Amino acid sequence: MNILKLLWRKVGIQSMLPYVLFGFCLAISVCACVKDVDFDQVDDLILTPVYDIDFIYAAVDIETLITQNDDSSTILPEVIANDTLDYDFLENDFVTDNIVQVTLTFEFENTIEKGFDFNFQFLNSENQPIDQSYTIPVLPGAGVDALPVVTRRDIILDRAAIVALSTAEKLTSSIRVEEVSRDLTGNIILKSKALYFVSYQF
Amino acid sequence: MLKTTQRCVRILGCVLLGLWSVMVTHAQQKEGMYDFTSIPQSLLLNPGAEINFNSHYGVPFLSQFHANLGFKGSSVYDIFADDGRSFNAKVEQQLNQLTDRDYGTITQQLELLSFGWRSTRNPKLYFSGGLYQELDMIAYFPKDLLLLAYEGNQNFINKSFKLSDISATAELLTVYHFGYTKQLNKKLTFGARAKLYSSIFNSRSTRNSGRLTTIDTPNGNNFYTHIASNIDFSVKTSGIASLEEDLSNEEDASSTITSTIFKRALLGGNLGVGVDVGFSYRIKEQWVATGSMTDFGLIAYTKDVQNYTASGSYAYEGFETPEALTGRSARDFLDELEEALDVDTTQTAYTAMRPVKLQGSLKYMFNRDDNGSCNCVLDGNYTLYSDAVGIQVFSQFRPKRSQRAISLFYQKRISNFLSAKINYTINDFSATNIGILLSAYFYKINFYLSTNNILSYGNLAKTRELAVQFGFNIIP
Repeated sequence: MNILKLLWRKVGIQSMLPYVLFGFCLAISVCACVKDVDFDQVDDLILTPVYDIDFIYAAVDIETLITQNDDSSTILPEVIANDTLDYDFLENDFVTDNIVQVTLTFEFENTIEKGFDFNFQFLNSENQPIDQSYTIPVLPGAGVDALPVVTRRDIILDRAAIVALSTAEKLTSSIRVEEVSRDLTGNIILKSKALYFVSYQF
Repeated sequence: MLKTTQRCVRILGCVLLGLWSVMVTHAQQKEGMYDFTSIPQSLLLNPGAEINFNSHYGVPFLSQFHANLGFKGSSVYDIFADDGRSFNAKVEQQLNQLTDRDYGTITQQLELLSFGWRSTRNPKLYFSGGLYQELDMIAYFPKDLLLLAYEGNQNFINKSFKLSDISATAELLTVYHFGYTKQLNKKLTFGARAKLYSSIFNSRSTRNSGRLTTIDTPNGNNFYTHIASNIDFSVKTSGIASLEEDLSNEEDASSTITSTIFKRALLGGNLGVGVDVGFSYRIKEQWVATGSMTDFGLIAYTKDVQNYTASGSYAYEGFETPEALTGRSARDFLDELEEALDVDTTQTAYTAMRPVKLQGSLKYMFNRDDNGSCNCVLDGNYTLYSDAVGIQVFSQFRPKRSQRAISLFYQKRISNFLSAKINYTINDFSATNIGILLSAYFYKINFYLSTNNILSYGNLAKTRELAVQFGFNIIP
């Protein structure tokens, strides 16, 4: 202890203490560094969310379709319900560039004892069809008293289709039933959704 | 358009990642400076500090620089570690780990002017004033919405995403202040400071509410119903719309912006008032308790206001077809959404409180720092001690909940020209936050330097908070 006291007094450690502390302060400032990190990794970040969103739906009674038809014959050669909706989602630049796939899922519940075709197609602003038209053959139902017959179909729009559809502004769809007897009953319920697979790179 | 969108998303992403990068648990706390009465800037933390000097003049623009960066919950290293793991894996881990209580903050202050003098009529009265600039930002981690952006809703059917997760404020302002410190009696010193805030810009989105949910509806019209329920969302801004305009005017944009900012800094923008109060109380000769409340005030934002609001509810289950049968006209999802949620841009004035800070300490002093000749108590002055230990508490009001910290400290007057203080700060996140303050006095010039988390200086990337403070004063 005496040696320490001696050092403290004689060697002048006390007077050096401020410099030692400042030195320490300087040292930690100089030593301060950021290591083992790589900020360029931001470029590797890829966002791949999947959005599951309702598409179109319908509940159509065959009798309504029949009564809309002017033809008075017992067997109607063809009954069609057409529709055109505004659908400009794919026209967005972000969507065109960053959506890698869209999976459309259609589910029909049919109680009409008749099969039919469901058809849809995208249109541009001039109502011109773009890319291919999609047709889903729907199974015949087993009558209004039976459980509805379910037809389920996935349609995959890949990158090529999404790019091709980048000018789409409308969606036209139709339900076409052939050779419909006037006493046909039952209904069609359509549910559909779209899975949008995004891939966004920073 | 695409480039702009990408740039915006990229910038937003970088800002979010940047906010992730560091963490702080006590944004504006200056644990070293509080009640360190030989530095004049301690009066800004407690106007009732027991100061001994007779006057002070801060070196203009250099009397105090303070910066504090941080993120509660994560560190730069957690995100950017060069450890061979994929970046996405690290981001995912953070997304799962962090909660909506975590946040990032940036606080910075630069003192432009600082002065003070002891009254010649009443030596127990000390006046001080000055001007400083302050930048203060806090953004809570919007967990639900980042999750929705990162993973989508596919795996979260029937789960709600809360809009209340969005909570952030940012402000840049100058503060003009003047106050006094008075030793009322042998035990009590009291001080108060009036503040005039001159806002340069302010932006806040707090107290949002509402939920976004995709509900599975087996008996419904379609597979799901997407519901935006009870949405009440707003982003209030002031001083930003005109700066954006200046920016878009490409000719001479920088000089226009500079002059606009200067004008606002010089009381030409939105104004507010506030007050600081504080005290020091000698419980016994060697025991001192202190307390202060700073930035109790508000700013009225009336000029250059632009608010973005949305409120209401909306449900979407797809488009019904065929129109011929439903009798409905064509629907536009975005138009419907905008109408249902009453999306609007307004110029309604608003007021906002400044983030109030409460601080307190209890200090025990020992080792008399004079040769015993001073009859200080009889003279009405305080006896000087070279050493002190104590405890400090800090709390700052924030949009979601207050930030708190508690510190233990030891301070020592090492020699006539050097004093130091070491703080150990306890919080939920760090058991190793040691801060240090050094204050030197050479030929009437005072220089101080303070930092925290010194143990992390070996690799700052691993720290979750970092504060630095330094300045020069002339104390005749």
